[in-house]
Amino acid sequence: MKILNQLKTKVILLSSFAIVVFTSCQQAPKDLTKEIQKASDHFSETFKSGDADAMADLYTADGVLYPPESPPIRGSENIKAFWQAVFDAGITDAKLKTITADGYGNHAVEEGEVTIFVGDQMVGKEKYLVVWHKVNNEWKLHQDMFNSSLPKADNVGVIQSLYDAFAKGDVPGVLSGLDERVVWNEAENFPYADGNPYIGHDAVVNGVFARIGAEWEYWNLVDMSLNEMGSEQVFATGRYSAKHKRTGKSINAQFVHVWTLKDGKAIQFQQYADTKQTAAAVR
Amino acid sequence: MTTTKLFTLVLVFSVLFFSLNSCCESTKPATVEELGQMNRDFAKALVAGDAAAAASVYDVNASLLPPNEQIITGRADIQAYWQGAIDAGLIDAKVETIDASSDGELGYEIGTFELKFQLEDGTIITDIGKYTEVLQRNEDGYWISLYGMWSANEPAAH
Repeated sequence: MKILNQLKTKVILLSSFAIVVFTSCQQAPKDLTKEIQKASDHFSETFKSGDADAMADLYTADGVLYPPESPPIRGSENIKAFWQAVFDAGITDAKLKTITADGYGNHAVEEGEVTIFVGDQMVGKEKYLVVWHKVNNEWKLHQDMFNSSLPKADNVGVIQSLYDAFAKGDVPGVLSGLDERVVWNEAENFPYADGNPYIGHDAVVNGVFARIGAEWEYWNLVDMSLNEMGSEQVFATGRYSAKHKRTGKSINAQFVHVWTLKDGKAIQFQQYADTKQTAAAVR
Repeated sequence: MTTTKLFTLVLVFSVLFFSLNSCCESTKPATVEELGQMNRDFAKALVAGDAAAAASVYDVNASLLPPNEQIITGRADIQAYWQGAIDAGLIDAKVETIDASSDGELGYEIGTFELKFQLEDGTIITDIGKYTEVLQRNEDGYWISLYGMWSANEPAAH
């Protein structure tokens, strides 16, 4: 009887063990597309609320963001700051669409696409790979990598061709790189800062280019270097090599130009330059 | 219940237990080393200029998600993509795992990469960034890529 009881215990033990092993032994990942689409919908709704704290709450405690042109972003505070910066940039909507999602236990991986909006205007199309973790029965983003699906704007190329056109005196060529509503600011105290800001093609041509052409024997941009800043700005460094017609004085003055672009055209120009040398040359 | 019957039951459960246990043998969490093997093999193939070998570490239906491009699906198109990188003057590729995890047959590896390209004029361009590979263990026990995605850490240099 004693032996029988021991055996009973063994059977019970073994069978429960087998059940535990069996349930943890699913071979193929499960299709979780619908379930993860719901979690992604929740992400889109939270994004629309513009609440960076709530965005950070969508991630696991040790979640990581991997945005393009940035090192990995770790920790709740940094993730919150990232999304706050996105909201501050005016982005109003990020609509996520799950392409496929597969799960295994408390993990899921999702491939998806996201369309980004400022109000009604679509401003970006991206794709992403997300590793989700189920925490307290709720799917949280654990690893979040995304990048753009649209071709990269060659902003440096746009600005380079604008300078090339300027060097040839090709005004239409310069204007083709400027947005029709470009906001142009000369350096404070520069001879042509009196009309700041110059808004639009005509204002720039009449207020800046025409006056340079009329008042200087030559006005060349030399030793130039163009650099990209972030995804929408280009800055150029170089020197003005120029000779004033009336005074006959020459300058070799350093400058920085900061260009802001949108959709492949310059929407803003800010000049910084050696104003003292230029002022002395025109006196 | 007779003792014989009980012994039979014990036997049945033991067999069940051992067979299930052996099925789970292959679903033990993989090591970081195992999960990173695919990308190390990939980098080696790329440096050797062998696009077919580079594509062979991806599942036949895998997808690539490169920056500023549409999703590329299928091993043939993936091979063509990496042939493009080799033709663009790729001379070196380094990868380093920063995180890897698996559950059952599904895993991922996240790492940093450094690619060096030599342009026709001799200029060397270094592209530094991070990648995610979503992995699945194949019949041979090798973790093959289902999805590969990456992006640079900084805007492209000019």
